[in-house]
Amino acid sequence: MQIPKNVYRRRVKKVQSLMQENDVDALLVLSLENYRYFTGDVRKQPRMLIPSEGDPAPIVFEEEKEEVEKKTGLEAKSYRSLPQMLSSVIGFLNALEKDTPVVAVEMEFSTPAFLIERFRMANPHVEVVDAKQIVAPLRKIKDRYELELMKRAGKLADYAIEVAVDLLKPGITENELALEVEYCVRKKGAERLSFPMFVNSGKRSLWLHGMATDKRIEEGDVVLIDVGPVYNGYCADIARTFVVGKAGEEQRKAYRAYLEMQERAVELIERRKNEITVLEIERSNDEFLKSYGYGGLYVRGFVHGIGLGFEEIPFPTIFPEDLRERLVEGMTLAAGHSVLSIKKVGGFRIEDTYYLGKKVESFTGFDKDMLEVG
Amino acid sequence: MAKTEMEFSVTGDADKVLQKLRDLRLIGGCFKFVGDVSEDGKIWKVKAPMSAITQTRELEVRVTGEDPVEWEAKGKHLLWRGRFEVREEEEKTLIKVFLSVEGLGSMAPIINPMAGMQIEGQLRYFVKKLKENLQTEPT
Repeated sequence: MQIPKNVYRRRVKKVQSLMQENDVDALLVLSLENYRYFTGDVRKQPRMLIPSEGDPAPIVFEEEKEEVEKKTGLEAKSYRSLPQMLSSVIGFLNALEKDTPVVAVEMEFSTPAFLIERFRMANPHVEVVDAKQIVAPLRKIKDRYELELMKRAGKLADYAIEVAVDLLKPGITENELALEVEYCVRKKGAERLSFPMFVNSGKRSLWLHGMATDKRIEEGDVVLIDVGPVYNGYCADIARTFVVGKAGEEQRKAYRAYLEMQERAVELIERRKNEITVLEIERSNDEFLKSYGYGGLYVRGFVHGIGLGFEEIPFPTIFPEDLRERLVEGMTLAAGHSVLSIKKVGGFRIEDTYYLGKKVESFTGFDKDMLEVG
Repeated sequence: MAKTEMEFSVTGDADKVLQKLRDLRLIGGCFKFVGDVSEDGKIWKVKAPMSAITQTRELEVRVTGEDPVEWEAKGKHLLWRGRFEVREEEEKTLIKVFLSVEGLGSMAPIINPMAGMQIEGQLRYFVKKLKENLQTEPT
């Protein structure tokens, strides 16, 4: 699907309007997510300056200039050396007439701290602020083009779990399973996985974070699989938990509790859309799990935003202030992000990608009644 | 060597301004890349990441001229020089700041191409802070 160039132009105009409202003179784009959001182009090391008025300026290696200009319709600045590249950025900032120009920089995973420190050193007269205040309000509300891409990513996520279930038998290693799933999903159209796939089996299902190791999957293992295929830049996120062989009663109870928690949370969001906050969802989940006898066994962090970033605003596990974020129409969320971790029973997680439209719509839909496999 | 200059004005007596411009402690404190300054102003500690990039942790500073005030701050691989030309004009004191920087020794080829780009931002910050210092304290 081709997103028309005027859509990108509109996004730039909107961010410029937010920049003006917030007294920001320029936005320095270093993340692929934002670069793609504002241009539609993909670069290995994107760099772009968006002034509060006028056209954005991508900064690219000389041999890429022609392609970038053709794809974006923007005039790019080019370089052949590091000093030339820095000169484009610094020259732009020096040309701003204010004594202390305000520049918004992405302060997130994609921007290493050293880069921000060096930027500050090279531009001591510049006030550096977090770009979140001007970019997040735009990115958290998805347009129809973005939704279409996320739906396709959702289908790939379902397919990923389907492949995983076929492979999930005693004897296969977590790494073998992850490799095969990634191969199949990429062959089917995913450009990549947004994070290294979790195949947490046995005791490691209790973990908050995941990975795939050389551990062989054994009969009786709880296996938590979390995967996030990316389609044309847009992510979907799905997690399912399985028991290889026969599930015990306590495992069934924990699984049911998680599933019911997810269903109740989605219903709550649907009913109180535009007013409910992330914090209220967390509190409701806490209360619900207490009624199951699982108080304190669940790690908070049930929802996060998703889109070009596999975790984007609201992102309360990293940015606690996002707990205050209201879940409003137009957002896309992954719900079921965190783990219910019960020693000697297993770790459980059921996660899906949702769109908060007039109704709440799920972009992922792999069977949630399937607990036993292999 | 990278050079730049900028002029600004403050209210107050030129002699008193000149006196302040000879205060190396005050001057060092106006640079963003300078961390601690010794009591006598003769040692400026270079903050990270500039200290790492230039492989220079501190600068020894001395006044090299009285009128116009000239100073230099020299470290293992880094040499900053400054000059202040001061004149009075219609109840104002005009200060023209000249600043230069160069890499020394084996780091020179690495530092010098970068220094040319960054010196203007350094001066803009320096002048802003210097102006605050000259104006907030009665001259």
